[in-house]
Amino acid sequence: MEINDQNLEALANYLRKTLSPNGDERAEAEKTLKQIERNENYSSLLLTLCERSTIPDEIRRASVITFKNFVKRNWPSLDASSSTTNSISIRDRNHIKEHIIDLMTRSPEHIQQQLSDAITVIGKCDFPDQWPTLLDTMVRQFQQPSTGNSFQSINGVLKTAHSLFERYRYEQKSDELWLEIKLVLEKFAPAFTELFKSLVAYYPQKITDTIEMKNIFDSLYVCIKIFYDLNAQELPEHFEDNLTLYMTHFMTLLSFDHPNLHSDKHDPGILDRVKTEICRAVALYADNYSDEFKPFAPQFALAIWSLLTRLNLSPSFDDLVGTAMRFLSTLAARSHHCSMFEGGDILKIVCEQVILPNLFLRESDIEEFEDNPEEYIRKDIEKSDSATRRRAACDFLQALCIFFESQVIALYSQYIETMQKEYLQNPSLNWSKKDACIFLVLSLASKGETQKLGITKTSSFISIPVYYANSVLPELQNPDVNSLPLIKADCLKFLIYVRNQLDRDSLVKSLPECTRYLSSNNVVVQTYAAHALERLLLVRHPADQKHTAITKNDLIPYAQSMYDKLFQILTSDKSYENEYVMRAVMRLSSSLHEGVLPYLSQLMDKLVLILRRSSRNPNKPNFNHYLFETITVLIRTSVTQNVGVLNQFEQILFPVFTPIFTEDIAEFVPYVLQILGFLIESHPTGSTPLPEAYRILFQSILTPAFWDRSGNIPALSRLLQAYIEKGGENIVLEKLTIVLGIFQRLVSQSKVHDHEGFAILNSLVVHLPRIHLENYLKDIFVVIFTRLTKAKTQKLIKCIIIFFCYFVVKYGAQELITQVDNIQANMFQMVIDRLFLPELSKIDENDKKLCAIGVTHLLCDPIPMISGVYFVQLWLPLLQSLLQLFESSNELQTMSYAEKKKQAQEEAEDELLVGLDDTPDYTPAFSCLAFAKKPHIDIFSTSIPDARCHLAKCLQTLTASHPNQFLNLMKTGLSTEHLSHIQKYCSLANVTLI
Amino acid sequence: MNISLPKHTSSHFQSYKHHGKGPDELRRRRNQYNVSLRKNKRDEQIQFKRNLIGNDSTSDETDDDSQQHQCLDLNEIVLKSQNSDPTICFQGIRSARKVLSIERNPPIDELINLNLLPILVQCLSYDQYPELQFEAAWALTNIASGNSQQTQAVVNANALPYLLRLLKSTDSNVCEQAVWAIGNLIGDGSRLRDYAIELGVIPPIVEFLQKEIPITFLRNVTWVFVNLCRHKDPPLSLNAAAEILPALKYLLVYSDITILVDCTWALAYLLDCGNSMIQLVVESGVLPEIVQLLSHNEIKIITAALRAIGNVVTGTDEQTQYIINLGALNFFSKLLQHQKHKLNKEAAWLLSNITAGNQQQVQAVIDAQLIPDVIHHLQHGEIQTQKEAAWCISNLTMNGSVQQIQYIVNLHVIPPLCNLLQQQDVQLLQVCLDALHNILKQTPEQNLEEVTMKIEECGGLDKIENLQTFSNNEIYQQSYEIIEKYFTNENDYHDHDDDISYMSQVPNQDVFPFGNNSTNQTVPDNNFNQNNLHFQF
Repeated sequence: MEINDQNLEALANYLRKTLSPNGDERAEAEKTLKQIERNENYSSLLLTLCERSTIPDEIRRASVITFKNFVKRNWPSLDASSSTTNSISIRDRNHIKEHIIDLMTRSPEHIQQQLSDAITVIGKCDFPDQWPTLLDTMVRQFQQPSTGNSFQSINGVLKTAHSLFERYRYEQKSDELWLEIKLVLEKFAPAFTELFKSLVAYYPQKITDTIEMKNIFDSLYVCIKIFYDLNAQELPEHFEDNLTLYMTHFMTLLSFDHPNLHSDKHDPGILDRVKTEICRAVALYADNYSDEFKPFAPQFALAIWSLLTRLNLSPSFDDLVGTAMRFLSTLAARSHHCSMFEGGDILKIVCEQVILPNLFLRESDIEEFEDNPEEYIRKDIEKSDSATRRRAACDFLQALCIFFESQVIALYSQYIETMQKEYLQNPSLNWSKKDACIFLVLSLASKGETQKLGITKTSSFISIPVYYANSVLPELQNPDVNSLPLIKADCLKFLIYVRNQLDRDSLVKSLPECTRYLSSNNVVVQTYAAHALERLLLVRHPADQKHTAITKNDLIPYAQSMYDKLFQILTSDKSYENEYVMRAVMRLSSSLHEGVLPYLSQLMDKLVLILRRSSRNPNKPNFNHYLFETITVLIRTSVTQNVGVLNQFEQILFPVFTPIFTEDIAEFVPYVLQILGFLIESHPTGSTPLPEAYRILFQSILTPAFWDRSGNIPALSRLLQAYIEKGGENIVLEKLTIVLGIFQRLVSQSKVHDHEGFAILNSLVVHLPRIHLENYLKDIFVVIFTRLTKAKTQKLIKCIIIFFCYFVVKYGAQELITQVDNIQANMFQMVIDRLFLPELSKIDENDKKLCAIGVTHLLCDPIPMISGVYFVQLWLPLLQSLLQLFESSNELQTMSYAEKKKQAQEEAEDELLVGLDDTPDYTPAFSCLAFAKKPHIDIFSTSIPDARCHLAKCLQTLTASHPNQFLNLMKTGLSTEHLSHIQKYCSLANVTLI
Repeated sequence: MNISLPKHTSSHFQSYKHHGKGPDELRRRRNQYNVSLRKNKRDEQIQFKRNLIGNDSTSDETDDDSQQHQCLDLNEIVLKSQNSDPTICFQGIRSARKVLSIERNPPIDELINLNLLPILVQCLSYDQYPELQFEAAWALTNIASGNSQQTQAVVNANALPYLLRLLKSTDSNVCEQAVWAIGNLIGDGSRLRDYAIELGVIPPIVEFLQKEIPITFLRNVTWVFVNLCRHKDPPLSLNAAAEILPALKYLLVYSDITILVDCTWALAYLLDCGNSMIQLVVESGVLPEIVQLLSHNEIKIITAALRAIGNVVTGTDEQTQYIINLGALNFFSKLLQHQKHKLNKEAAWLLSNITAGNQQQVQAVIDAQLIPDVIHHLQHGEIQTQKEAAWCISNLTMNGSVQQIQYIVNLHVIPPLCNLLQQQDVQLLQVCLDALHNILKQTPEQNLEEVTMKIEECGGLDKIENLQTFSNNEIYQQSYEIIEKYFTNENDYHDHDDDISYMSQVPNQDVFPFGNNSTNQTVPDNNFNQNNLHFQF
């Protein structure tokens, strides 16, 4: 396409159509543009259009946007593909690079912005090697005589430069990167410094010209960002040589003020943004180039803290205040700078005038407390406050405490005392001082905290229990639960944070207070009260970490009242899906142990109502999670007391669960499946058949569509296993091929869920009489070996080993070899070589005993192993792997049966506490109910208490029937270490190998 | 608190910097990078020396006027220097030498352009006039001390062979000045150095050591050795190094500070030239002396010795072990506690290359009780020292045993490591994240909660979470992985990556078919059927 008026006109016409209100016309025009964009000169035509002042503005704008998008889409392709498929010809590329900077500087601002974006894209691909003239062109623009208009054009160049240089801030050091920076320093930096000089020389002359001032400061703003870019990797020679120049002007700028350069809105004004960038830049120096910066540090510290004392609470200063305090924190935290805070009243001034004012809540926080409690809570206790002034002030405070802890605390103790007094004199007027006190004490006292435990380490200069007893508890004991709600929320928060620093008595004493505040009419207070209760119940007894400090007997007197109030919130219209409250219900129910039973039926009634309500709109995942956890806790506790109660649960729950299935409420289905599985598992084995309702349900869980949703699969698999265990012959048998089909699909089609397929299969092998599976064995093995051949993974291998061991235990080792070798001759050799030998010792701890027993039988029972084809090659290596397996497992190695049993019990008890400590492991796909956790079951717990003895006995039988053969092999083939292990096992089993 | 992130395929997590790297690759040479942005601080040995005041008694005219006067008359100087009358010539040459010796902006280029160089070179051959030779050599010395073109101009005027000849001069002043001039030429770079070696510069220089020469002369000779060893692009040949190593070893018996400093720097430069050179130096037997210099009183000497030893331990495990066996680590407690920051930094750098070694070497650092000092610097040091300390710890976590890692955890290494995560320097962030990640990986299951709690307690978890928004991709990836692996609850089921790609997906069906003989072929690949099954895994 030539660049002529005719083509320009045509192009303008298409561009006009892309703005058409008619969708078809627009699409058509866009399509046409796409088609012609590969033509030579297309880009030049666009640029010509956007340059011509005679063209209507909307066409120019359309043209430049089209150009930018064209560049974005097509420019980077040069590296990726060969030149033939190149969508922009080399000639066009060069033409663009030659003219675009000039064009940008000549363009009005809205076009400039688009061109600048395009240059950035081009620069990221081509600079510096493919665009050697870029820096020169930019520098030339700086050197144009400054006129009114020129700052705006220079600003475009500066922004482009910054977009290209910004990566120096975060890219990993490399020769290539540094060569580029070196080039920029050589070509760009001197002119840049000159520009900076003329900018700072120019603005004092233009004080009265607001527009010009804004332009100059816009440019300065980007200049300082570029200063940061170029200094980020290392202190370059050029800037070291000009250090005094920059630092002096930075100082001047920090103390400069001009009423028209501030903002009257929430966003920062340009002067404040300039100062923010200066603070950032000098913080970089203070941190990284402290030797060079040291002479300037005290001046900057002084300038910046006095700046801070002058700034009011307007949100437009937030960024500046935050950055400025971060700079001061940097100085305070470094031993070679911190001395400037010493001496005279400096520390006092900083603490009093810089930090303290920023610790007070602002009007907007207080509004949020009333109107948007969720947001308030998020910032206040969920750590989403990283951008607030309060956080910055608190960080600075903690930085000062690194070297001046005792002085800082002494200073603040006075303020705290004074403010506390002022508050007590007139609480309703001075409550914000109390708020600041509590915040201060927490900030000063905490030397370490975790989500799980709250504050774990404290300052030695401040006593939390004392402050709690004197200043927090009395507040909480105020008979009016609705007075000064924000202070009540603060006190409850304090309690939550320091819970692990208080003794048992204090904790118990706080229970009734927390309970009372559940009926506050403020949502934040209610929430914190519930949260406090929930957290307190997890605090361990100081003398006995295995038990909680607060026992069920402490709780029982308040239980009714707690439940009443918690459910009152859950049925209120303000905060009915409050996750903290639901969680408190769960924790309370769990901590009451069997003490919960008297409340069972009222609880279930209420929970079912809530469940029905939430089913209609399940949008609070954590709330829902705790709701289901609570139901699980109740089932669990009741069943351990009385199995008969299962029936009642089924009658209550089935009617609620049914619509969840029929309406397919995806968020709830995995939970319901887990609870059903849990219910079935809770039925005693073998006595009476499962209720008929389960048979009906069984049909529906076999629907393939159900298994298509991966979030359902873990729960479905568990439920299916429960059916197999408790209703194998009764319910499952008639659908056996479908169940096997599920196994087949999981194993052959999913790497994520294949283990669930195996779990189902193992359950079938363990719980169904042999006769039912016999006809399917071959197909099962084919499915497994097909998957193994096509997609072998370590997890798959482990699953296969475990399945084979179940198989050996149930059907005999000989049968395994027969099955495998019938499918393909001698395949068993491969099974041992490729699966058992490399992976056996890596089996999960829980499965090791099973595998040890299975492999023992593989060694000692089947004829092919003992005397047949596999003896020579497999017997010894498999024995060695088995011995390794024993070595790899603490449990198999050292523990006696009694020890194991004791440990298992302790773990189970522990789990109910520890496993639940933290936030729910909620994921969008599937969340496991902690209270429904299935314990690990050792199917040999009584038959084979010690797998080592079992091996020894089997070996004894084997060697006795084959004199010399195995003993000689072991003596010659095994390491002395392995031999000694075998001897040890024999003596444990009280046998001798002969 | 968990920031939710887009899902990743596992391939994104492929490799961090040190995955699969052996200790030799972990070791960092001091100047890993060839490009420098910093101002050259000349804390090492100076490359060029001009003879300003000289040791002759002839500098009688010192007033500015006369210098001014002479500068204006460069033409006349050159004219005089060409004069066949030896006296006038001597005056000319001497005037030239004098203007070249003024402190600021000597007229080097002007005199080169006036073609003075061939005249000076010619004067070098006038053995009957040692004073003239001396003045000419001096003038050449000062011209050669200029920039690279100026040095090259001296070489182009073929001065080197003549200067080498003067090394045999019976006049000690002439000899010394020639040594000086040669030093400047060699100091320019590898090319001129190798040219001089080709012309046979080393043997005569080494021979001076066997002569009775004044200490000032000996210092100049030593300085020539530094210049011979200085450049490494390419480094000195192994043969040449073998020729000068005995000389360096001999010089180390002197107690003269200048000689010791230069000599040690010469070795330090050589030791920066790769493992074969390190081996050569090790075998020369000089290193025991250098190790002893670590406890010298003079900071310049400690600096040089530290650099030399530091370069050795960038070598192989065996070379590193050699240094450990010399007892070098015994000096480090003092060096790490030295009030000079630069020494702390260099010492930490050196130790970082020892902790990059095998577990025995890590243990040697632990046994020397140095880790508490390293951790102190990690917490409180200057940023450069903090960086080296971070490397030291990070390398230790890469190679150390579970017990060794437990040891540093017990010494509270975690808070200072986490503290550095608020820095902006990408490499530092990477090193600290590596260290934390390794510590987590190496911590036995039963202690893991203790470690994660320590990380959370000191605010490290918040910082790692912040890094998930960091612009650098590697930093983001690694912090994401740490959070994902150690600070998120389990049971995370990911849907991604869940197709066994080459298994054709069975379309959704209304039933679950089972087995191979059913009408629906559900072991889906058609190549697999009862007739030609073959399993291979």
